[in-house]
Amino acid sequence: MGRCWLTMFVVSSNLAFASIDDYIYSKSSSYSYSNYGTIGLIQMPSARLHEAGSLGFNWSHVDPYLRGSIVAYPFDWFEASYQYTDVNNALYSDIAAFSGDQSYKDKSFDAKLRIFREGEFMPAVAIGARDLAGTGVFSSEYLVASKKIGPVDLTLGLGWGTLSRDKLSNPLSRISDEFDIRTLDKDTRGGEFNVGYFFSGNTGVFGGAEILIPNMKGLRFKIEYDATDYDLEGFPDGSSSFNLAYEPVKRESSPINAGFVLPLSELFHLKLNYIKGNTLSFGFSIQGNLGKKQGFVKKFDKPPSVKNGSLVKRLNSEKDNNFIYKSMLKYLGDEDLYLQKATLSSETLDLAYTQAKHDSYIRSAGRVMHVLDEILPDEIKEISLSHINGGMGMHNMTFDRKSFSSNKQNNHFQLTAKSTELKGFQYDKEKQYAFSPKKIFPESHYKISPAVRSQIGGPDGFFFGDFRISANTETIFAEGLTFTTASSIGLYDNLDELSLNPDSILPHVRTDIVSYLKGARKFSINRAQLNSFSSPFSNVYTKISAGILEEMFGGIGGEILWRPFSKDYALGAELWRVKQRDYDMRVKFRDYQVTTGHINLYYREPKSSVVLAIKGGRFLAGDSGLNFDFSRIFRSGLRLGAFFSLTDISEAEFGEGSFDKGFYFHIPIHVFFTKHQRGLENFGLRPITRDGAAILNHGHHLWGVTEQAQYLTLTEDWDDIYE
Amino acid sequence: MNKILLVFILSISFSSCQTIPYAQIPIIIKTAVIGADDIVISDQVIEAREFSFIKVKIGKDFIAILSLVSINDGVFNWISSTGEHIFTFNGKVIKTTGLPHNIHVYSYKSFSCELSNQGSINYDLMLDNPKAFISQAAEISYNSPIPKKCTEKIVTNGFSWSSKNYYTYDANDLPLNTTQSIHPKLPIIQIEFFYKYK
Repeated sequence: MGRCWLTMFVVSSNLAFASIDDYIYSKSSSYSYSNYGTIGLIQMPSARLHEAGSLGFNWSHVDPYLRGSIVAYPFDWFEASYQYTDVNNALYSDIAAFSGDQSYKDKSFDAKLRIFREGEFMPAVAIGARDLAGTGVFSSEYLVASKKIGPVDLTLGLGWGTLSRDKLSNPLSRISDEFDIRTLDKDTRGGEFNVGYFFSGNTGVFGGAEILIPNMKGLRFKIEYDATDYDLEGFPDGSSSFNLAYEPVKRESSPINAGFVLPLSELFHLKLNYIKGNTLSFGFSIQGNLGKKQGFVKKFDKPPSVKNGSLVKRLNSEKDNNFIYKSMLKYLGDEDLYLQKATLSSETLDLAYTQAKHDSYIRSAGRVMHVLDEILPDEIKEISLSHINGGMGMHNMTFDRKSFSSNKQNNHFQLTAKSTELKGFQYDKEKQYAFSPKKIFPESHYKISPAVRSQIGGPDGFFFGDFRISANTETIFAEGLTFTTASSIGLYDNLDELSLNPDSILPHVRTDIVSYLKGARKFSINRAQLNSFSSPFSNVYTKISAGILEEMFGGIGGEILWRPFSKDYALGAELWRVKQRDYDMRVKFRDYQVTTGHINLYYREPKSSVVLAIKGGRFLAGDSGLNFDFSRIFRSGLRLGAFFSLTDISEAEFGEGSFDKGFYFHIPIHVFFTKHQRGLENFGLRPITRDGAAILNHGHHLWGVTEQAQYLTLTEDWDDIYE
Repeated sequence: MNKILLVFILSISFSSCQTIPYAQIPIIIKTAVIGADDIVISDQVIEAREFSFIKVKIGKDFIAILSLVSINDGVFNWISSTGEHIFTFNGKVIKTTGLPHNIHVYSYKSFSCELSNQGSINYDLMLDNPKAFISQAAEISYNSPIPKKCTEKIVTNGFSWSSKNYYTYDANDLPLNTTQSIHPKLPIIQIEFFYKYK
């Protein structure tokens, strides 16, 4: 009967008018998440992925597990997630005095790669792994196919590891005997990408369907055959790991799971499932594509017309150059575009400016041109704009004014790009410009904002936090000479019970985090850094800094970067002599000091906008090695990245986690606002805080400061010129 | 829902680089909970405006003033300062451009609020984002003569979208206000009409 109903459903849906389907099955454009935090059915994965640039968070409660996951899609074909699972039938440690009544917390990475896109007749096919670099308690691999037929998304897959309920013989054994037996090495420090056991051992089959219910506001029904072997997952009764458990996991009474997903919007889903024939599970997920240029909110920030622009233009045509300079200074300043120097000749204008409002440098140049085009006499035919940052020249754009103006009406930005010369620019402070507005130094800016310091998932408790008010200041003493500070005052914290002592045998350059958290509860200076920037040669940038460079170290050092304007790569070096700060995070220092430094290589792949950064050198704990950082930058400015380090210390010396690794994303805040603005909200995570491969986190890295000094960074934004 | 995502992202990343324009957060939260600030149309506002205009409220987030651009064959074309257009015929929204979800009603001429016009009519319309060509059955009922009020009960063929639209007219049969569901993915739209010359 059930099969008959399903067949009828599929046939009738195919007869429906395709475009109306979008309304019959509303909110159907986003895929839903499984209880394991990645896209899938209920417990089982599917071959579905969100589009590149999407970020998601999923929370689920499946007794005895509470699981939160962060999911990122750096490419259309790649899903990466980090799971944090509260295992409520096991203790944090087998040493009772250590764990107390704290439940076990499991951290793990999952990954899924799509092998084939879905075709008219062919399903999408993906391969993936769960818990691939954790302790392995949820370790599994799978090969899965999904095919959408009308409102039904069918999934069928093969699983290994914990997804081997049926204990079928492994088809890969025909290739090699090594696939016969799955030997999971539990005697590790966790965090290792041990692929040796992947796709080995018994095999299970899983499958199911996600069915869109018509005219029910996007409600979906899910049903699946669950391949999970609950005797392998977590801390099962009878296994060696059961010594951590204080009660067994409920055995399943049925392999059939079913449930509903209710999308409150395309972004926010609620779910309720009945699994194992005896367990109710529920959760929610939130996801969105933050990588698209236009962001979530339509921008209402068109370049405004200059008030009485035609009158100003007429006056500028009649008065002397001094009047024109002052009018440019005023009307550009009104748009947060700051004229630094300018020289007018009979038909050309050479202007240097700085700005901190637009994250698109093409847009900022377009805004400058928009103002100038409205107020400058018509005799000015060519406008050369030079962008300055930190007292260093970044780039120069020479516009043909007529082309800029005539292409504006129909937004023919391609033609404007074609007629504009774009080149590197070395700012010569000694060069004589006809107009150089007097600057009054020192010039100061400040910002006060809330802040939270946190310690999550330790044996003392799940969350320890410190709510603070922070103040950030920047004082500019001269062009290229700045002093930046960050300090904060604690308002409320729950750090009293935080007592975890570091077990690291390396110098405690990071693992004294608890001492820093507790020592700086009232007041802390996070940074007090004096910077001197310069560009001594074309494409070469330098920075010398001294002071309190980060939360745990202060000292002196410098950085040099060679960033050829027209190339996709850069090469740099940095060297620092630093001393460890006292736990109160004020002005006192501890005894430990070290010389640290790296050779830095950066490469930005032009088509995918993937940035590879390799830093090789000596780290804060005195270990030497390489740090690899991969990230993808999206049109919105979203950056999704991951890193790992390999140094000359052993896994034993490194401790839990085996080696340094983590991920981060930088979310551009403009995607949520109607006005353009610079700024990133940064989120980064290392599963374990360890001392090995620790990098000095000084402010104003030259790679970031000189972002706009590269052709590729600019040219991909040409469509912003009239925005 | 975007705001929920923002609040979520704020909450997970509070401790990081403080670059959020915090001054905007209370505004966002207020907009999310209460809605955008209303625009009060006083006599002075009406006096100051050169052309007839409408005050449009879509859901609780979007409030705007649109000015009359043209009248063509009974179709009033209204434009906002940011370029969105709303076209009305006897107060019924028959076309929009620039909104997140737009519509174009093709068979609107038979819509009017007259006692003699009570009964059933049909509309063909194109929905945008996602695109779909649909037909609707409308039942118009004449509610009162002064002020003249009508209710339009609409049922969509093919999927579940039905609505009740309300229209009020002045003594010159010009629409005064209306409440309509114009697109299944948009909140209810409320329009108040203000005429400079009658």
